[in-house]
Amino acid sequence: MKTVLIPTDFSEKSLQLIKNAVLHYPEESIHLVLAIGYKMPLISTLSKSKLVSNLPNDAFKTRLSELRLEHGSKITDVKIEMYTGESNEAFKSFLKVNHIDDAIIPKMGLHQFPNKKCFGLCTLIRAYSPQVSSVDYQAGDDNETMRSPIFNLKYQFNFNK
Amino acid sequence: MKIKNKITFIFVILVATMQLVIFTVIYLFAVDYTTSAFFDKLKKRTIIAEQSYFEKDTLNVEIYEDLRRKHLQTLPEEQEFIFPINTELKAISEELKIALPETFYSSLITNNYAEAKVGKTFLSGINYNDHTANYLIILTAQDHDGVNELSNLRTLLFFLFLLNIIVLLLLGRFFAKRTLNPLTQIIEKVNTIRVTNLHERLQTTHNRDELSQLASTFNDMLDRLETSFDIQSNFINNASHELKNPLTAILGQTEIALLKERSPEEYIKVLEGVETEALRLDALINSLLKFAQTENDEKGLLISPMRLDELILEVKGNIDLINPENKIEIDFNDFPENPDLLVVEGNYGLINIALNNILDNASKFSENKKVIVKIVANNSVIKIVVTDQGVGIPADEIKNIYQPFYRAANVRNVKGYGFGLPLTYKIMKLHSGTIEVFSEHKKGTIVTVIFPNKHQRTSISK
Repeated sequence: MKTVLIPTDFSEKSLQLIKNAVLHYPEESIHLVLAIGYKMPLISTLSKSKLVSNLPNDAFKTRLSELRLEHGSKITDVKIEMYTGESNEAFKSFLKVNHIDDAIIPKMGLHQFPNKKCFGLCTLIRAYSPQVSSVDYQAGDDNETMRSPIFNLKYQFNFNK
Repeated sequence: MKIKNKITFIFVILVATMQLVIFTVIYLFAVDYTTSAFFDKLKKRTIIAEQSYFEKDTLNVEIYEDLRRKHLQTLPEEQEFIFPINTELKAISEELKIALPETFYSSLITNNYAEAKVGKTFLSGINYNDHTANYLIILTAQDHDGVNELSNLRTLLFFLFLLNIIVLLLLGRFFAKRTLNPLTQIIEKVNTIRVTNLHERLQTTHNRDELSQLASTFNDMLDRLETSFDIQSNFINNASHELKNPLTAILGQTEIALLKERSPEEYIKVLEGVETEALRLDALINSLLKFAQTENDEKGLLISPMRLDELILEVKGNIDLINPENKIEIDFNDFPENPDLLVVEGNYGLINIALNNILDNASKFSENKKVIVKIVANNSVIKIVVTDQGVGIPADEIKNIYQPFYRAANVRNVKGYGFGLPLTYKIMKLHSGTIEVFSEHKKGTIVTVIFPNKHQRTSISK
């Protein structure tokens, strides 16, 4: 059995990577670790486990359970982990603690994070994971980053042209 | 009226109305303030007049007179009147040459003080009482300064209002033009798009405003149009090519056979070759007919309930007969406890063809590697998930897989006509279902066929 790390941004689309994992390990069962980076504030009223259950929306949770069911013979378990470290060493120990054997990351990274505190782990995974496979991934139309209201207003009146 | 002008007009009307209300309030406050300030001035002068006429101490009287003369400016049209207390209103009015209001007189008698404004004239009165005599002291004056100030304010507000209307018109027009500029660009761009440049797209912004959505909607429509055009033109090209290949082979073989006299064995060999190509042609034409039939026979389909798990087992049995080396495995884990959830309503023959195409493709394009078929059902949908370890579909070709005769570059050496998936797609659409294909080049493909649960669906799609 292999433990495969898959970065996520809690968008339904990012769960495509689970299908990639299913195709990458045809002969083995896989244990999936879906991971997202989170800048934990100094004082936080929510624990990591609370954040992990609050941040993803219902569509994400439903699709995840559907995929687990559809590929039940291959996927033995799926765990959602939140990485809150700030150093490379912290990420290395995150990989170690979760017994990661391999990782699947999108070539163009992930962009549809639910808030500004979340961040992608693709660069860290590419640098420190024991094995990495980069796959084609299209985030879709709604992958734009958040813009300031002033920018939108300027855009509305074409001042930036 | 153009939208640009309409927006400007509404903008100007709204802002001008608001401004008119604000200016009116400002003017009314100014009128109120000026009037009360003048009454205040008049009241003070009335009190001083009273003191100067009726003060007992002659020294004080002189001081008051001196104060009035030197320090207090006389008000315009100022007049002082002293009447005995028993003077009637009419007599007072005649003396003042003003129609004195009844309220002024009664207030003067009862409250010992009254003020009023009659036309341009301001009136202030005091009822003087002492032990020896009772008198009514009335002062009249006109507020020329106040009238001038108010007139100036009126003129200023009026010109400010006019100036604002002009500025609002210019600004409104400018912003309306800026806002609607993308719409003009969209109209100009859409007008230039013809069949020859159908690949061109409208420029979209990152904004999620209505204009950006309109551009995206146009682009989506152009995508669909372009795909339809491509499908139509490719269909004729590919169909001609596929039909021509066996015919060329038949013609070539017969031509060579007829060049000279041949032995019966040689003729048999040629005829066998002709038969192979004719059979290929027959299969191709049959596929074409089936494809056309699904388009034409939507209304005349025979619909019956069927269990999908049983159908899959039957399809697998058929494939086993044709290709005994296949490694299709049906995963019965997570099977629904209620068998009714596996029942779909549809045309048995067509669904059989659709599933047969998918399982056959999975086996064919993976060189008989393991293929896993899993059925997942719940109250809303029934899914059949087929996972293979085949050659996969290149990412840039996946958008073409539902085009008839289309064959991905990496499977040209595998036998087939490029009809399987388009036909399956049509059959699924006919049964209000969908088909999802996820593939990674050189890794494999996951095909998910989704049927609506029969309890959810009311009728077959038309």
